Amino acid sequence: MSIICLKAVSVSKTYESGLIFKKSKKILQEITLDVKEGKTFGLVGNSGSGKTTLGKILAGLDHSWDGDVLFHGKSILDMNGQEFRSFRKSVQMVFQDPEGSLNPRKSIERSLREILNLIKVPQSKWNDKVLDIMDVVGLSEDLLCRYPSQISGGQNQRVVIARVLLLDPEIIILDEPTSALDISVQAQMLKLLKDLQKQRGIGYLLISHDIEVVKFMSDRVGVIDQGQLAFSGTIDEFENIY
Amino acid sequence: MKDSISCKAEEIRKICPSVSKVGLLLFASFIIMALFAPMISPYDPWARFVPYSSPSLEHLLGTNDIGNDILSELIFGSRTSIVVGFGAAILATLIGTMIGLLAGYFRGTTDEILMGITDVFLMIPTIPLVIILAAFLSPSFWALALIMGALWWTTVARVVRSRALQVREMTFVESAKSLGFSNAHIISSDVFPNVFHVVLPKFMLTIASAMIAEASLSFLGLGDVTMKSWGMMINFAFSRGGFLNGYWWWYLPPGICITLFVCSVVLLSFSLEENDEMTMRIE
Amino acid sequence: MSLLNIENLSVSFETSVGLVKAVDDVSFKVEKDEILALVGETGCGKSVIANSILKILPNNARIEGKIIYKGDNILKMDEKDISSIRGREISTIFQNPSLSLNPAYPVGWQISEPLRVHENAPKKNSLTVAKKLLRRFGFVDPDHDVDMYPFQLSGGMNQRVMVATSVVLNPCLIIADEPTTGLDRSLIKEVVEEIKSIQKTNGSSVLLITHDLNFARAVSNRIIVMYSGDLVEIANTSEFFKEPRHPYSKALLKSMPENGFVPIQGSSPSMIHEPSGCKFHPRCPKKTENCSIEKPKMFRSGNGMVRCRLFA
Repeated sequence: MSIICLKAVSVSKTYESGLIFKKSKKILQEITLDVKEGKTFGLVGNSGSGKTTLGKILAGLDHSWDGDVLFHGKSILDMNGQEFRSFRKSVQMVFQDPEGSLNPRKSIERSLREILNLIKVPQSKWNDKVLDIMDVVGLSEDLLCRYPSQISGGQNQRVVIARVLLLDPEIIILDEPTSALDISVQAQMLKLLKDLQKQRGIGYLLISHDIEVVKFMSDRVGVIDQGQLAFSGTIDEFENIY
Repeated sequence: MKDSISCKAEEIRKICPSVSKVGLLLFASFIIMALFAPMISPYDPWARFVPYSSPSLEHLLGTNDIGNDILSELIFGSRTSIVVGFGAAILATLIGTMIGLLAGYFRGTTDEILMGITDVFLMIPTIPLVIILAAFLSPSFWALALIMGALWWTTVARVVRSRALQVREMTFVESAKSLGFSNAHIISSDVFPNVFHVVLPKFMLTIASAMIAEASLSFLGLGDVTMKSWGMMINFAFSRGGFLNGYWWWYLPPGICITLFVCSVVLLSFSLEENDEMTMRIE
Repeated sequence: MSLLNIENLSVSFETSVGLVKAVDDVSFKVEKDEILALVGETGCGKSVIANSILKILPNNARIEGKIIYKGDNILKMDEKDISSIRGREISTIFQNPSLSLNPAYPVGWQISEPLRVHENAPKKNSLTVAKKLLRRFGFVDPDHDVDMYPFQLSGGMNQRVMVATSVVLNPCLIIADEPTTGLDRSLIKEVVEEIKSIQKTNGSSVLLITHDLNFARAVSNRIIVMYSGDLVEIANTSEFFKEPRHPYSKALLKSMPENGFVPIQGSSPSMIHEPSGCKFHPRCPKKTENCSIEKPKMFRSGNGMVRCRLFA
């Protein structure tokens, strides 16, 4: 029985606009789901259904919402500074638009090194760690000099994943990880993600509008429609209905 | 690793691609003129010779009404003018960039306060203030540079802020926050380099503006009389009858120098901006 | 006679990092009354081919070969002649309809613009035609919708406006450049219907540029596969999906969701330092020694053609 690492409990979010006549729009309504260690929870829904917003809330990147998010049973609302920082390190997010996720003025090597600097790895070990992580994500050494605009979408996505992996997370929230990629590159990326999960026991929350991708990657699936969780269950249950 | 060396070579190639050669040449010439003035100048600019001489082999640009060699004055004058220009520009750019970055990145209350301060400063008219201060205090050219820098940061701040607002919305900034980088790191390492290409042209154009302002003030007789500057030279040319008597070697050389320097600054700034755009475009 | 005949087209771009060969000696025909899909992944050169037909390549492009439209070589035409063809005889449906439409003008105005520009039609008549087209493409209240602005309509509606704009002058050839990018599945179905209806009603041919294989399968009669600037396979659509011939085509179909997301080994080659011989050979499971030396010709196979030594 896998450990539940991250759990959303009745998470809701409402947008309010207008100064005098306030208009409110419910982006998310009472969402409850959990991500287990080493397993994938797939979240499907059309664009605008609130999936990305939910991902950000679960990653601790959004600060105005109702409900609760539990990390290893402890509510993130009750965490002190250090605990919250530790939570944020363990739960990482990979955003849509791989090339946009990298600073266009930093070479790949620099983008990787700054992470090592952040987690205070001694400089003497940097070379080895960089070469090692490039190998893990399947990128060749000679791409280190390059800039994001000089490499392909798939390669950019691998760099993004490499950066996240350096932090050694327990959970990765993947927001449309393959939507911007070509068909064959998509297949390569999904294989890489599956291999990494097997090797490192990372739990994924996979957000996608593509049902096939979700079916291929996930152990359990949730369908989100206009902010509500219309379905939540195993892959088999999902296939019976959809 | 061996690739780092080839990476550095590529990086350098990226930073110094084809700059406006004319602009660079002119600009470099003036900087050299200012730096090596004592060595280049034929005479001490304060030394007195036969006054009212027209250009000759001995005095290539002749002498003024008190006998100073004009060519020497011109060469030493470049120092004052360029220092004022750079001084004002550095101060304005430093202050403006700091404020613009903080306001644009943090938004909210910080932004409101900083932009409020900016608006107050924007209301202060620069040249009239300098004229008043100059009239009452007879400031040195350092003070001039200081005042201009302390007032002109506002346009830099606005431009930097609007670019910072754009950059902070970009995915890589969000991604950096998600990875756990501090705000200080993100601003210096991610936001600023993507804002720099907007700062650099502003910096260069501020040099040009400051220089013209100094020349104008000197021409109005409000500059630092104890220093030789291009503007001062034109001032004296005017007040001592150079224009009336057609002594073109009194007023044309400094005027041309000011024009050429400003042109070189503008050319350089345009070409740097264009190069930056080109390196960022996907080929 | 074919409608469009592309002969030995090669396009390269001069850049500061070297000569980028985007399209390498490509030849194919577009017949009347057919929907031809040009498929391939990023960097294969398909969009460059579309831009070559319309002569909207950037200044640093070096073009060789011929593009023959109704007997005339488009590449040798001057700007005046090609302008009269663009929009009237060859029109385009662009990607991302919400961005391709001008936000400052109502959709009726934009649909009718080609009529006013190319045929000097008076404003009232052109708007009437626009209303008819809106009705044909599923707008229930064209009299009202003709004055709407793009931002007031949904992505799907803008898509249909785009399609309407492209057919208003009854062109002989419509180039649809990635018309399904960014659209949800339900909208893609609509686009399929729209394109089929254009072909039936107007008798136009459609050159469809896409990386979405399922979309190509639903819509096209014939399919052309490109890889890194080379044309590697031409086939009838139904035959292609039953039995792809070129190793790249096979691998591409295997990496589709319904076939299990099987990845292709390796990554796409650099466009400046190309592999010698057959461009796919570094990733091909069936490569032989010759494959790295000489680029294979196109060989006939069944009703189609393949650029692979295995079919010699």
